Amino acid sequence: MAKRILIVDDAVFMRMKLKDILEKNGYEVAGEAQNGQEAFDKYQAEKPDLVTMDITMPEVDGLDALKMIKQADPNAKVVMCSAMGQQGMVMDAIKSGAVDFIVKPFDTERVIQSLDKALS
Amino acid sequence: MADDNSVYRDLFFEESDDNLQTLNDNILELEQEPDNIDLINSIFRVAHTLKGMSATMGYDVMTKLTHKMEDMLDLFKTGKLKVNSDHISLVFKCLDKLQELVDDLRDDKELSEDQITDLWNELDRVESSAEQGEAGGEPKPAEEKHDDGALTTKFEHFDDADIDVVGEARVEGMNAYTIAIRLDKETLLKGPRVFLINEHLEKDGEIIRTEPSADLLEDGDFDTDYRMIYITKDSLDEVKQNIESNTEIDSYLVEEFKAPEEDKEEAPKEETKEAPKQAEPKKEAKPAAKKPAKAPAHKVKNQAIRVDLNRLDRFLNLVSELVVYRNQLEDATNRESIGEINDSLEQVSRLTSELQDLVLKIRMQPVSVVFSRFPRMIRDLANQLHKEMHLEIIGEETELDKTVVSELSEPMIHLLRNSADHGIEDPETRKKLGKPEEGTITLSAYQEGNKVLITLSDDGKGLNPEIIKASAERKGIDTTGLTDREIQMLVFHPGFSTAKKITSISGRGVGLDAVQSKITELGGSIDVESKVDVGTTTVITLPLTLSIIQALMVKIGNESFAVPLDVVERVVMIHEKDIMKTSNREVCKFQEGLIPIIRTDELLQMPPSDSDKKYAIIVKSGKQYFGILVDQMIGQQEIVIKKIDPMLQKIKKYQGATILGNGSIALILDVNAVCNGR
Repeated sequence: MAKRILIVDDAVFMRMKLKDILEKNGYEVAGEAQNGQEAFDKYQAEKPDLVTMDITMPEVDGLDALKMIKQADPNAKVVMCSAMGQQGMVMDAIKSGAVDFIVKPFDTERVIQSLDKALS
Repeated sequence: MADDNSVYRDLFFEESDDNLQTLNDNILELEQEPDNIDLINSIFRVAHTLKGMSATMGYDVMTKLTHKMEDMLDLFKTGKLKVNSDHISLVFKCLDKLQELVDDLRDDKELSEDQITDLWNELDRVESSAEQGEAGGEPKPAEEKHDDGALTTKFEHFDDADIDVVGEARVEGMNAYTIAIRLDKETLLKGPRVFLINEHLEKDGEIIRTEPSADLLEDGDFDTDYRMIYITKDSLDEVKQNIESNTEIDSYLVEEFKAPEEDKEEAPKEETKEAPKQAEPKKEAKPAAKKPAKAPAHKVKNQAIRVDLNRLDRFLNLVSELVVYRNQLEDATNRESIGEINDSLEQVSRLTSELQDLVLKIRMQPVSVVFSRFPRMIRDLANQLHKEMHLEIIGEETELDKTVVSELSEPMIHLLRNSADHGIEDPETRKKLGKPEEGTITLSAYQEGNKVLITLSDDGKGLNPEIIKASAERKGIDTTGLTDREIQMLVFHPGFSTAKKITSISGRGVGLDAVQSKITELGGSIDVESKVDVGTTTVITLPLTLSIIQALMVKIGNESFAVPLDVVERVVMIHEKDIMKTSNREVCKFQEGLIPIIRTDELLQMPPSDSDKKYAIIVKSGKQYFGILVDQMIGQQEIVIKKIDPMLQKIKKYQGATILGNGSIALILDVNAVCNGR
């Protein structure tokens, strides 16, 4: 059965791009969220297999959302999406339990590799 | 003659030029190291390629000559013919002739056998005399190939403490491994990546040491490989599984930890301690079948493809336009602050910058493209002038924009010829002066910020200000009040020559000013420093790239102008009362001295502004500071230089124009022209 992914990113374009990559590679998109709060709510509702989480978002950012999700479900699998130059944030995310991170701009192969490994 | 091949003609000419240049270089080198068998082999290869190419194109005469030359090279190769100055000169003659043939072909001239008859006979003589005997030299054994690039778990050094820890752990039934990990070449954010890998490992064990140190790893301050000592209960397979759960790892090695003593014992056997591993580059040394691996030919070339320059220009133009629109977009979002676009725009601007950087880099060529011809030229000049000299080239890998590089050849040849002809004295004179009989001309290139400096110095007789002055006065050039340096710079004055004798080598004095104007055209400047009987040094400063520059945007009156940032030393605020008058110009204080003030509104014939507060942009032109007055500062910006219509290019005060983010046009001041009132 196709694994279900929740895509979190504040930019529509990024969500579209990621959705496209995922669907073309046999994943099912369980839902999309455009900020951390929405991400948490959708996670609770959908219980996806994995979350791709943008770091910089308005209101509740990706790092806080990650912490909220991990608190509610310690087994949650979250892959962070970061831009160049966010080393610090990525480190924090790893410490908070992110399974992996991918760096924008997205390279299809890398995204899929990361998700495959995280879900295996 | 070769219609079917006409499509390949251009390619043929280009490659022939390249091959001939390579041959020239290599032969020159061969003269220095006649025993270098690798070099001879490589020469032979190139000559062979050339022959094959000309035969394919059906250029019989050229094929014949290359073939004959190849025969001679073969004699070098087998050691039947000695590599000496005469023979080298003969090969050079062949190369010159071949170049001549290629040039003729390029001009669609039919070649005739007559063109090569003399040379043919000469080659024949040398070859037949060589065939009559002379034992061959023995080829030297090639050096052994050094093997690097393989991933290794060998630490640069161990601490005794590490070994103790491992010992203790083993007593407690733990396993100790050395692990080497190589990240993917394209890995972004290496620091966090390593952190994540180590985090995974530390869930099941302990990393007691890493190399490079943890700090460096966390900062991503390493290439792709790192090593660690890892203590865990896990088995080898489990550790491997753990590592494989990560992404962006190119390859890795896991081995049982060995103390360095054990390691040393095994060292002579070399890498036979291969761990049973599947996914890493294996290097199995077979001591029994150890053949002396041949070192790869002596010059390793970068892989490259040829690109039509027109396409590249078009690419650059497109990128330039992209930069303009990016600026517009940034401008718009700054005003409107639309959050949605910001993120994407950030990416777009990063990509554009990278793209811009890349296209500029693609256009870069090493100066060696031009410089490589010079050693041969100096060799020939020395023979012609009966002087002794050699050319030293430093920094020939320095890169410049292709346009600049190709324009550089002519002025450089001119300057070199000058050095050889007028600079370096004949051996007797040099001896009398206590200099080595052989003169040295040094040509060096290096990059400094946004500029490339090319210096050409010789240890010749230098520029004598007295002689220049006398000569200048004879020609009616006013020299009153000029310093020695300024007098020396007069050699760049149009229609000036110090050579009493006109030689075929360095013209009749219509030259150095042409050199200067060429360099100026390329956006550079030229400077001379010279001491009598010590030598002359000419420094050419050139911009690294041509079309995109950092500029300071300013306002004069209501108009926007751009000042290239690389000439700007600093900007100071200035009031009318700070401006003083000397006998003939206005000046202001800067640092310890007074510098001339340039009133741009007057110079550019704009209505004078009445504001009392102005900014003086302190610029450096040549070795002199100037203060250019402007009314307002806008800020620093990256601009794309657009050429001004040729009709308007007579106005010397501008380098070009640029389109601003808001779509308006700003002219780019030519600081040199503005300051020197040319």
